[in-house]
Formats: sequence, structure tokens, C-alpha cells
Amino acid sequence: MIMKLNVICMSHTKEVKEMENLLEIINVSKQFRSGLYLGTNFKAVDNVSFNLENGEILLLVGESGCGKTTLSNLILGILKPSSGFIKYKGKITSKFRRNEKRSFIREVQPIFQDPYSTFNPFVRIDYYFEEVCSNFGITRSKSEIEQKINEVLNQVKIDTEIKGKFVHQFSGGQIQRLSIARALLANPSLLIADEAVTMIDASLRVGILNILSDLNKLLNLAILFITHDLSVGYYMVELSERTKTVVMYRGTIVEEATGENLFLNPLHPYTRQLIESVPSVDPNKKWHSAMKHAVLELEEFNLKGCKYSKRCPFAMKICEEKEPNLFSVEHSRVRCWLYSDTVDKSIALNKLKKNQ
Amino acid sequence: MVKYLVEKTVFLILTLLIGLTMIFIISRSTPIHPIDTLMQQLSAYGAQLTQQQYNSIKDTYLKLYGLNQPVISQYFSFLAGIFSGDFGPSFSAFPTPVMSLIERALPWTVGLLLTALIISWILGNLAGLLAGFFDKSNISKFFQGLFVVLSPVPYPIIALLLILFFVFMIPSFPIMGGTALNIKVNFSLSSVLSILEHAFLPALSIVISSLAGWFLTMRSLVMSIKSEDFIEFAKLRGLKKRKIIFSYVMRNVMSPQITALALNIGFIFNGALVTEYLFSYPGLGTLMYRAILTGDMNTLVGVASLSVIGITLATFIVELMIPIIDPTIRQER
Amino acid sequence: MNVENIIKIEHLRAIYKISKTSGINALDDINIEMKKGQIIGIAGESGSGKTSLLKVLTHSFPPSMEIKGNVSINLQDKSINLLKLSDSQIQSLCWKVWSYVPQAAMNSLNPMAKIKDIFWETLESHDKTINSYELEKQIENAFEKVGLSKKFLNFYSNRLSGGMRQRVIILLATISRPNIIYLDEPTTGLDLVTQRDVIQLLQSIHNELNNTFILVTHDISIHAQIADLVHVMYKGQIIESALTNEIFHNPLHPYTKNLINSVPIIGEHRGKIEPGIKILSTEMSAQGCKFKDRCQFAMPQCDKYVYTYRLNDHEVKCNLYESH
Repeated sequence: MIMKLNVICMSHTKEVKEMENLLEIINVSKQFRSGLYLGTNFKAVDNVSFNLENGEILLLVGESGCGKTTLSNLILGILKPSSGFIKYKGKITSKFRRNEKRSFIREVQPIFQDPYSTFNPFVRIDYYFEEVCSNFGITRSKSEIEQKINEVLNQVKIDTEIKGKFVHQFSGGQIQRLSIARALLANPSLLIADEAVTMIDASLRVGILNILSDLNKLLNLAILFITHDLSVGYYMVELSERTKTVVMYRGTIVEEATGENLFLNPLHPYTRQLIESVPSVDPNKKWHSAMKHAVLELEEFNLKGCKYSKRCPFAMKICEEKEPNLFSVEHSRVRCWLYSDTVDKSIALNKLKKNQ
Repeated sequence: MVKYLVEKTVFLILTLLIGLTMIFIISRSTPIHPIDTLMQQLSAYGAQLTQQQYNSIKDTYLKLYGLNQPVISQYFSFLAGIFSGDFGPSFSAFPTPVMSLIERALPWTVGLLLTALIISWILGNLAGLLAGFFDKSNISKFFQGLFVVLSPVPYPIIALLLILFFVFMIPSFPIMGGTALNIKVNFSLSSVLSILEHAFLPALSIVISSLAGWFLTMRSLVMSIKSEDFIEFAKLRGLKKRKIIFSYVMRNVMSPQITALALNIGFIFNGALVTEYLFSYPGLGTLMYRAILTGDMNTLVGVASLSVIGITLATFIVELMIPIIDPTIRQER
Repeated sequence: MNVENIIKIEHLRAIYKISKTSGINALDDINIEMKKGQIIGIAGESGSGKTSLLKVLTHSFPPSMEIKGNVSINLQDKSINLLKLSDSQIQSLCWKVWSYVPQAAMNSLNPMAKIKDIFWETLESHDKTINSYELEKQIENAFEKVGLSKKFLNFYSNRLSGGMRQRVIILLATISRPNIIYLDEPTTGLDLVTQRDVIQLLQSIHNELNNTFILVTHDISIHAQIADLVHVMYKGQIIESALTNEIFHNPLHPYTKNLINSVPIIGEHRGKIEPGIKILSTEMSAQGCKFKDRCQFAMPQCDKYVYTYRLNDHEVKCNLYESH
């Protein structure tokens, strides 16, 4: 009897520990084929692994073509991985049963880049919201629905009346906040914001970022924040308590760190270049060096060694031959031979010291 | 590349096989056995036969047409026949081989339909291109209205109206046949003129009927592309209007129209039954019509098979053509 | 006529007509004198009128737009009254006096034409006498200088990434060495690294050609990096103008301050940035300051008029400085 109880207790603790990871990406790859007659395969996402904990904000940074949109489509279930799995609350998403899939769709809500194209232009906003509520079966009675709608509108700081209005009557910033409100109606556990503020005017961006950060703190809402704009990413990291930053390049993770570490102490040469490329709002701080010019994207995807080797100022012979492993350095993990203990990097390190 | 070609060729063969087999099955499933029809025709000529004579004539017919063989071997000889271009003898025009009947009729159909198709394609697309580009002009609006009204008009009405006007009311064109009865078909001037004279009305009826379709699709394609960024940028760079219409607009919308043209060429082998009936034109359509009336199974099978082969080949060629029409796909590696 | 001023805009008003009597004010009394050889930044967000301003300057405004005022382009040997030009005159002047780098370069190249043909047709339509061999050499050199491979000339645009297409379009605009180049959001939609590349490219082109750039973008850090002076637009008006250093270190208008403060700086802990602007859904103000409905410093007189304050080259339209 006591043994049985012990077993039950142990499995319960294990469950709780596993539950801390809301989302687990395990060795996920996605291969695409390009071209009609002579097709070449390339991996848009190549062996990517990371975890997103409950209530954490994970910042996914990368330029266009790095695989971040493909990854978000894989997580949302729009695409299926060519290899590897995605686990949500400990269960593999591709093996979901019908009711598990329904819960997943409700609990993981996307917010897309273009606010205008995610709303049906012919449907009135209030009617739309009411439909969302009844679709997800959250609340039944009309008064409860109305209460819920008012609650989410409050949370996104929209104080104007939405009754009877159509999408085109609102500005871009407002519609994006309405997108967040729509996501909140489903009582989500995870928001996937894919370039959510990229198309919003700069002066309105901060307002939306503030809302997201407040929601994360208030509701313990996890957010996967995808962006190419580092200053926007930094702001989110600065405002929030539990964050993790992941940098992607051509389908692979090149650096991963918690909190502000990646911004204050970037390790990978690509991360450094990204941070250097942020234009300063102080006219006295201008860029000094010119960069190496980009090679055709597709060629970089299929490189044998490190995908960044063609653009890296510190590239060594081994970088072109073998893809680096993920090395742990203090608070970060870097995929770069410069951080390996065994490789001879004297020339490269000299260059690094000169640049610092 | 090779993989793609092999894939498409396999599909081609499979489609042909399935299509031809279906023709075979359908032809062998008719409730009325064609030999019985033949026998009935005999009695219609007033022949009086005893049961024995009836049976022996029937047996002879069955042997002649190979219909006494088991179905499977009939099937294989059918397929073999297709390869060698032999559909067997015609039932109603015995012993003329079906193939020579087809050979006689085919040039009329192809000549008529091909010409009409190409003329209506060129005119329709050109008019649609200009109408779409200058969509605010009154002429464009006029033609738009005209073709919208014209397009639902059933083809027989157009054909009959033409006949009414140009054969009866203002007798300017002959009503029937491929040429005048006394002209031999060769390349002499009188022969050619006669052919043209007889082909004019049927071709005109087809052109009028199909012009609307090409015009309307082209026009809407052009109008949807007019607002694209690269057209705007071309205007801002001061490029001449003519350059924009042809290099920018036309080149970007031609692809679906060329595909449609190729497919329509395939459909030519269907024959234009209604046209040839109304104008008594000696093409495949008339051949098929008569074959149906007389229960001529071999001819029917022959013409239907030709149709299947023509359309399947046309589709196959279209799929190969795509990278030629769209050079951007060609280059993608 | 001050030859130093290459473009002079006087009392420019533009209205999008909706019906015979009503319309939307896109530009409201714009007055700018642009000096030759500078990179002039126009900062503004959606609805500010910057797009309409460019449409007027490139003479690509739609027929429904009613324009009043005067725009003159002053060159060495002649002066051009922009608004009174005919279509054929525009066609011959464009790409010689001015050229244009459009927004959304992704879709601005003919997908069915090779890159080299696009260059060829642009230059040939303005100068029938050019030698195709010389031209090809010229384009090849230009490509190499900006790090684009020569083989791109035979490509169709679908093989190039967004950043590469942007560079091709910039080259297209500069190859005829025009006096003025208008740039419409050249970095929007590009990622950080490509953006930096494009900015540095523009800087080097400007150094080489020494002509005038009019750079329109809502991203003010770009202005900080490359513009010589900045005009800030809001709802069809220019609410502040100053040299770059001056406007970033000493912004006067509340809107400008907000724009600058909205840019988070990596490494600096500024904590939560409050928007500082009241957010409304419909903003209507016919008289007085256009910004008053969103301004936290709005005073009663802002409903009636706006004071224009000038100190050296720094100009701002705001009643807060009335007493100065």
C-alpha cells in the first residue's frame, strides 16, 4: 500500500517537473524542395532544440530566411516536421488525440505580422469576438460573453466602443491590439507573436510591447516573441522577469542565453554583428566598419560546415569543414568553434581581441 | 529533370490506357449488339432469310469483325490496332477501314478548328489586353458590354443566325459541304478558293462564339495586374506606354492563356459536332454523327480513341511547356 | 533665385477628393527649401502625408488629387515648374533630373524580364544613343562595387532575395546620375543586417555623386545615421525641422520627443517607456494644432492657432514655445 502511494507520488512529481516545460522543441528539422525540374532540397530548420517554460518569454531572433517563420508554423501545426518532435505539456503534438488537439488550438494562440489581413473585413468586430467566445466554448450566456469581451478589451487598453464597427475603421496599432484581445478570449497558455510589431508605427509599438509584458506578468502567459529587430527584443527582455533569447541563422540556433546576457555579452560573431547593426538614435554614434556582402541564400543553407562561415570575419579552416557543436559558456550556449576547448584558434582570437 | 519527365510519361501512358480501355468497355456494353443492327438493316433491304441462312450470315459477320473472339483477345487486338493505326473495318461502309474514313475527315476538322481557334485567340487576347489596360476608355467599356452580352448566347444560335443572314437573306456563302461538289480537293487556286468559301461561315461562327471567352479572361487578368508595384514603377521610370503594355503587362499574364490554347488544340480532336452538323461540313463530327445513327461501332471507337489520344497528348505537351513559357521557373535551382 | 536651393516648395496643399465638395487633406501648407548636395530626411508615420509629398514630387499623384501651390526645381541652367509639366515632359525629365527608389522593392521589378534588360530599357527610353556594350560594362562595374555578382544580370528577379533586389533598385536609380534621388522607405521590411548594408551603400553613393537625396522613412534612427537634416511630418504638416544633430539632442515638439524616446536602446535600462501620447480612434481637428488631441501638454489656445518658433535653422510649430 505504502509502495503504491510512493509510486503515485513519484509519478506526480515527475509530471509537475515535465509540466514546467510548456513547449519542447526536440531536434526538429524541416526540409523543403526548391525548383520545378531541377529541385534541390534544403533544410529551412536544421536540428533545432529549445524549451519554453510556463510563463516565460522566449525571444526568437533572426533575419529573414533564418527559419523562424517555418518554426512558428511547425509549432502551430500548420507544417509537420521532417524529423524530430514538438512536445506541448509533455505530449508529442503530432500524436495528439482529437480532444488534445482541440485544447492545443485553444491554448496556443498566434498573433501575426499584418494586422489587417488577419481579420475578415466583412465581419463586425463585436460579432467576431462573440463567435470566438462561443467557438471555444469558454462562456455560454450572452452576459458572460459580454463581460469577457470587456475584460480583454480592458487588458489591451482599448477604451473605445467596438460595437458595430468594422476592421477598416481602426488604425493599425489598434487592430494589432484587437488581435491580442482576440487571442486572450481563448484563455491561452502561450502566445506566438510572429513579428507582431514590425508593421506598426514606431511611436505606437511601445504601447503594444507594454501590453504584452503586462499580460505576461499578470496572467503568467508564456510568449514566443519572434522578431528581427533587436531593439524591440531588448525592450521585451528588459521589462520582463523570466526571459530567454535564441538567435537563429539559416535554420540553426547559433546562440542561446537567459535574461539580458545575450545583449550585454554577445558571443557568436553573428550575434555581435546583429547588435552592431542596430542603428543608433544618436547621430554621433555611426557605424564604422563595412560588412562582407551576402552570398546567395540557398547556397548558405547547404554549406557543409558552419552556415555563417562565408560571412564570418573570424572563419577558420574547421568552420568550413565541420558544423560546430553547441558549447556552454557561462550563461549562454554558442554554436561556434571559437568557444571550443580543443580547436586551435590563435589567429582568430587575435582578430577578436583587436575588434573588441 | 529526368525524374519529372519519367513521371509525366508514366502518367501519359496510364491515362491513355485507362481512357482507351473505358472506350472499349463502353463500346462492348451497348445493349444493342451492332451485328443485330446490321442484320436488321439486311431485312430492311427486303431480304428474306431462313433461320439457317440468318445464323450463317451472322457468324460470318462476327468472324469478319473479330467479334466472335473472347472479350480479352478482342481487347488486346484493339490495343494492338491502335498502335498500328488500324481500327478495323467500318460497319456501315464495309469494307472501308475506319482509319481511311478518319484520314479523309480529319483535315477538314483540323483545318477549320485550328484556324478558327488561332484567329479567335489572337484577336480576343489582343482586344482584351488593350481593353484591360485602357479600362476607363469608352471603347473598352463598349467592348466589355458587347462581349458580356455575347458570351452566354448558345453557339447554335450564332451559327443559325449567320446562316440565316448570309445564306438565305443575302446569299453570299454556300450552305454546305467542304467544297463545291464539282471541285477536286487539291492545291489549285479554284480548289483553295472553294474551300475557303465553304469554310468561311463555320469558322466565323466559331470565332464569334469563342472570342468573348478569350477577351473577358484576358481583360480581367490585365486589370488585376495593372495595380502591381512593378507596373507603377515602370511608369515612374518614364517607360513608353507601348513597352509597358507588351513587356510588362502582357508577358506577365500570357501564361494561363497559352496553357488554355494548348488544351483547346487538344480538344480539336473531339470534332465540332454541332458546327459540322449545321454546316454539313465533312469532318470528324459528321463522321461520328453518322456512325452513331448507323450503329457503326468501329468508327465510333476509332473517333473516340483519337479524341482521347489527342487530348491526353495535348495535356502532356502543356506540362512540358510550362518552363518554356515561364522562364523564371526554368532558372530556379 | 538662390541656386543653392535645388527644390523650393511653397504653400503646397494636396487634397484627395472624395466628392465634389469634400476631400481628405493630405498636405496642408508645406514650405520647404532644400539645399543642393544634402541628404534631406522626411520623418513621418502613416497618415503624416509623406507619401503624398513624394507623389507630388515624382509627379505620380492620382487624378483625384487636387494640388495647389508651387514646386520648383532649380538646376544650373534652368528652373522647372514641376506642377505645370505635361506628361511627355515628365517622361523625358524623369531619370535625368530625378529618380525614385520605391517602397516595397520586392515587387518593383518586372518578374518576366532579366535584370540587365530592366536596366537597358530604363536608360534606352531616355537616351536613344547609348551604346549597349559600354552600358553593360558600366552596369557590371556598378554591380561589383556594391557586392552584387555579375551573373545576377542574367537572372530573373525571383532568384534574388529582398535585400539584393533593393540594391538592384538603388543602382537602377543611381546609374543615370540624376540631380535628385527620392527614396521611399528604402529600409522598411529589411532585416537589420541588410538594412545596414543598404544605408552604407546609400552613403557611399551620395559621397560619390554629391547630389541631393530626399529620404522618406518613419524609422528615425535611419535619419540619425544618414540624414543631414530632418523634417518631421504629422497629419500633412511639417511640425519640426532642424539639422540632425540638433533635432536628436534637442527635440522641441512633443511628437518628435516621443518618436525619439520610442526607440529602445540596447544596454540602457530606461525601464518602461510610456507612450506619452493619448491614443484615440478617430482624430478630428480642423483648426489649431493638429496634434492637440493626442498631446499631453495641450492648452486651450491650441484649439485656435499654432505658433511657429524659429531659432537659427531649427523651426517648430508648437504653442509651448510661444513665450520664447
